[in-house]
Amino acid sequence: MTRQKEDLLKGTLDLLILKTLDLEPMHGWGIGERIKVFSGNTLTVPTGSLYPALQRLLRKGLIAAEWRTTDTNRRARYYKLTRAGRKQLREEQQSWARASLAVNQVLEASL
Amino acid sequence: MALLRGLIHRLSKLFSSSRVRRELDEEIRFHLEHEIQKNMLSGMDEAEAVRQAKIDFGGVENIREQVSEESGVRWLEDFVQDVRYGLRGLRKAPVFTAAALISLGVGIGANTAAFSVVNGVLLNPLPYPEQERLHSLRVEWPTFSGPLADADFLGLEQQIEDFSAIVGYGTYGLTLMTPEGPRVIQGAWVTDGMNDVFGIHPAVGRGFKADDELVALVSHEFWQSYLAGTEQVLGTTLELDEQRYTVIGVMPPGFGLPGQNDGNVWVLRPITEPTRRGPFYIRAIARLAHGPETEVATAQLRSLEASLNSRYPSSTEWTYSLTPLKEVVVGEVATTLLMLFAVVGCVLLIAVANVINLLLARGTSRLHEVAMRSALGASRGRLVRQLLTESAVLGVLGAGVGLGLAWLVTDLLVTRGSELVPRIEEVGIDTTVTLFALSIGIIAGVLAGTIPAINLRPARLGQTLKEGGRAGTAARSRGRTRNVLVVAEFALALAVLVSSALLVRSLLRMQTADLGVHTDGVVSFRLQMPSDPYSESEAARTFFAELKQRLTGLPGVASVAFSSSLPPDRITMTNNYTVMGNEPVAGQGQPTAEWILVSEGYFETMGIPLLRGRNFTGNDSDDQPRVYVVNQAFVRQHYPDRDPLTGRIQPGNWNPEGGWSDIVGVVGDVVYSGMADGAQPTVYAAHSQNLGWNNPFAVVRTSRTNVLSVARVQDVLQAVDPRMPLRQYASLEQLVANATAADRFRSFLFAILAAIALIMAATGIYGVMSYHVGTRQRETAIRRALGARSTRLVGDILREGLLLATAGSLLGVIGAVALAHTFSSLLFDISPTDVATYVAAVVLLVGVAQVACLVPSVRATRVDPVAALRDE
Repeated sequence: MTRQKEDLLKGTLDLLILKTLDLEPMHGWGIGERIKVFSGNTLTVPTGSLYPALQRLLRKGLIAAEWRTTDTNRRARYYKLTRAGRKQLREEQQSWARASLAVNQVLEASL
Repeated sequence: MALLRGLIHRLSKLFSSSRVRRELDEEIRFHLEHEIQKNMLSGMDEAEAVRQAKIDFGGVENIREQVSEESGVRWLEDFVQDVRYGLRGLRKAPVFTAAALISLGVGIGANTAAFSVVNGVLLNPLPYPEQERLHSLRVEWPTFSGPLADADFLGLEQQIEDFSAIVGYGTYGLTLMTPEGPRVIQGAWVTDGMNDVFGIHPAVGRGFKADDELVALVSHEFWQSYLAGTEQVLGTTLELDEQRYTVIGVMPPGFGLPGQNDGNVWVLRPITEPTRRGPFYIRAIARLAHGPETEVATAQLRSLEASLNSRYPSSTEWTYSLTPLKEVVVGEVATTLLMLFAVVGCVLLIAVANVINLLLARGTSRLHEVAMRSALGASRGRLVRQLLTESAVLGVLGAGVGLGLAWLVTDLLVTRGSELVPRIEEVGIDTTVTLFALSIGIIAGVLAGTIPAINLRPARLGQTLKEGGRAGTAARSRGRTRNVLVVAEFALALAVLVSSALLVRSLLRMQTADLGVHTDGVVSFRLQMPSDPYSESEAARTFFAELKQRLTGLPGVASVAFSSSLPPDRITMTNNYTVMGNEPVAGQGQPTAEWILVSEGYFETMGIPLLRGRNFTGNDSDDQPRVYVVNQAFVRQHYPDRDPLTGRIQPGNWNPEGGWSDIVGVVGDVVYSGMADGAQPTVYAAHSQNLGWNNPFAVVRTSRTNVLSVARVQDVLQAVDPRMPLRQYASLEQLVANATAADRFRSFLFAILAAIALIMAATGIYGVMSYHVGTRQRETAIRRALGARSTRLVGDILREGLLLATAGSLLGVIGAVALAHTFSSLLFDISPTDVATYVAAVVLLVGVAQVACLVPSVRATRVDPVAALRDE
C-alpha cells in the first residue's frame, strides 16, 4: 500500500527535480526551495526523499554533480542536467501533459 | 552505455565509500545551515531555528541509509560485509576452520594436481607450430601394424601432394668419440624434412637440405655443455658411430622429436631406393598442407597403396594409417589420467561431504545466533546469502591451501615421473590451473553451504528461540541429512579404495609373474659395434669369441652369452614366417613371432629350460643349414597335435621356391614384450648363423656372492676393442624393476589417494557419531539411570555406525564396478570385478568405521546421568 504511493511520488519528484535543474544548476537545498516556491508553497519536498532521489538520478546518469562555491563563498554540491537527463525531461513532460490533460478531461466531464 | 555508466558509478562509489559519506555529510551540513538561516530570517531566534531545521530535515542516519541504497552498491557492501563477517567467524572457530580447510585443501589439491597434469599432457597442444596438422604414419596389415619401410617412405615423400613435408626418423644411442674415450649420447637419425615438418628451425646455423651429406644438428644443451656454446661450432665435425659429421646448426632450447626428452644430436640419413619392401623401421610424421583435415591425404594414400602393393606382390592388403601426432604421443596415458581424474573427483566429493558435516555441526551451535538475527529482522534470503558467502570464503581459502599442495605434488611428479608420463616436463601451475583451483574451491564451498542453508527455516528458528537452543525437531532432520552424507562418503571411498586395490594387486601379480628365466645373478649390457670391421662376419666371430673368453675368465663368472633381445621388455625384432604344411593362400596374412638371435649357452645362462630336442652348439655355423629353437607358446600355436621337432619353417615373406629350416629344439616360455603382454610365440635363431646383426646384448651369469663391477666389464671391453662404449649395464633384476616402474608409480599414487579417502570417510563417520552421542545425552542419561549397561550403550552406537558404513559400502560397489571397467586395460591378470578385492575393501572400510565410532561410543558411557539431566 505505502509502497505504491511512494512510487508515484518518486516518479513525480524526479520530474520536478529534472525541471528545476533544467533552469540552472542548483544544490540540494536550493532544489527543495525552488520546488516549494514554484508550486506556490503547495509542494514541500522532504529531505528524506530529496537526497535519495538525487542519488538515484545520478546513478541513472540523468544528472551530474560537482562541488562549487556559492555566491556566499560557501562550498556546495551542485547538480546539473546531463544530455540524457534533458532528453528524459522532455519525454516525461510530454507524457505528464498527456496524463494531466486526460485526468482533467475526466474530472471536468459532465453529462 | 547507460549500463556501463551505472556500473562505473557504483564501483567508484564502492571504492570511495568513505569519501561518499564525507560528501553526503557536508551536503547535509550545508542544507541545515541554509535552513537555519532561512528560519532566522523569518524571525525565529537561533535555538528555535536550529530545532525547526532539524525537525524538518528528519533522521540523518535514515537519509544516509536510503542514499546508500539508491546508489546501488548495497549488495556489494553486503557482500564485503559478509566476507568480513565470515572471515571473523572462521578466525573465532579455529578447530572448525582447520578441519574444514584441511579437508577442502586436500580435496582441491588432489584435483588441482590432477588437472595440471591433464592440462599439460592432454589438453595443451604439442610444442610445435600448427601442431594439429602433424600426423603419424604407419603401415597396417591384417595381423600387424608397424613403422614404414624404405619403399613406403619414398612413395609417401614423392607422391602425397597433401603433405607439405614429411620426416622419417629413428631414435637411438650414438657413440661419440671424445678425447676421453667413447661415449654414448642420445640422438636420432632423420631425413631432410625434419625442420619443415615440425616448423622449428635452428637458432644458430641452418637446417637440413636434401643434398647434404654427413651433417648433424645439435641440441642447445649439448651445444652449451659440450661444444662451448659459440658460433665457431658451425663447420666443426663430430665423430659419431665411426663417421665424421659436420655440425651445421644448433636447434633452439627445448626442441625434441615427439616423446624425445633427451635428444642431443640429429644426423641426416638419406633413404635410398630399395629392392624389397622391408625391413620396417622408419617412424614417419607428415605435415598436412591444408589444415588438420585428413580427407584429401587419405584419398591420396589409397591410390599410393594400390600402386605399391602391385609393385610388391607379396604385400597385398597393406594400408597406411594416419593418426594425429598428439594421440600417438599421449597414447595410453590418457586412460590413466582420466581414471586419476575420476578418483580425485571422488576424493573432493568426500571432502565436501565432510565440510557439510562440519558446517551442520557448527550450524547447531550457531542456531541461537542465527535465530536472533532473524528475529531482529534479517530476511531469510539475507541469512542464506550470508551463509553461502561464508562457505564460499571457506572454499576460496581451501583453494589456496589446495594450490600450495598441488604445487608440491606437481613438482614431485615432474621430477619423479619424467620417464613415465609423456610431456610431464610441460606440467606446472599456470593461470588456467589457478583458475581451475579457485573455481572448484568456490563451487565446493557453495555446494557445502547449500545444505545447511536449506535447513534454515524461519519457522524452525522461532522454535529454536522458544526451546532455548535445545535440540528439537530441526536437530532430528539434520541428523538424517548427516546420515545420508556419511553413506555417500563411504560409497565414494569404496570406489576409490577398490580402484586402488585393483591396481596394487595387479602390480603385485605383475611383479611376481613368472618371466621364464632365473634373474638372480645375471647382469647384462649392450654392445655397440662399429661397422668397420665388424660387418665382416669373421671379425665379428673373433670379437665375440675373445669377449666371451675374457669375461668368463673374470672371478665369479659362471657363463656368458649374447642375445638380440632381453626379458622382460627388450624385444628388438619380430618377423613373419611360414610353417610347412600351413602355407598362406593368396591374400592371407602371415603369422609373426618374436625373433631372437642367441648364442650358444644363452639358455643355460638365463636359466631357460630346454624341454625337447637340442640347444644351439658351436657346430651351427654359417656354412651349416639354418636351425631354429622355438618356445612352448609357438608349439601351442602351430603344433598342438604334431611333433614340433619334425616341423620346418621359412622366415620372411612366403616364397614357394624358398628353402625350409628345421626346428631342432623347444624351450620354456619367456616374456620379452613386457609383463602385461606375457609370453608370445618366439623363434630363436643361432647368433653364429646371423652375424650381420651386430648390436646384441651380452648376458653374464655370476655367482651370487661375487657381483661383477661395471669397471671390470669396462676394462674387458676396452681391452678387446678400445672404440667400444659400455651401454645399458644393468642386472636383470633392475630391468624387471624398470619395466614395472610406471605401474609402481601409478599404484603408489592411487594408494595415497585411497588412504586419503579412507581417512576422510573415517573422520566423517567419527563426526556424525560424536554428534549423535552429543544430542542424545539426555536419552543416554535416562537409560543409564534406569540401569542400562555400558556394553549395551557402546553396542548401540557401534551398530548404528556399522549400519551406515555397510549401507555406504554396498552402494559404493556399484560405483566401483563402473569405475573399474573404465580402466580394465590397465589391469594385469585380475578382473575389474575381482570379488576378493571388493570384499576386502568393504571389510576394511567397515572396520575403519567401527574404530572411528569407538571413541564416541565410549564417551556415551561416561555420561553422568545426574549431571546430564540437571543440565536440561
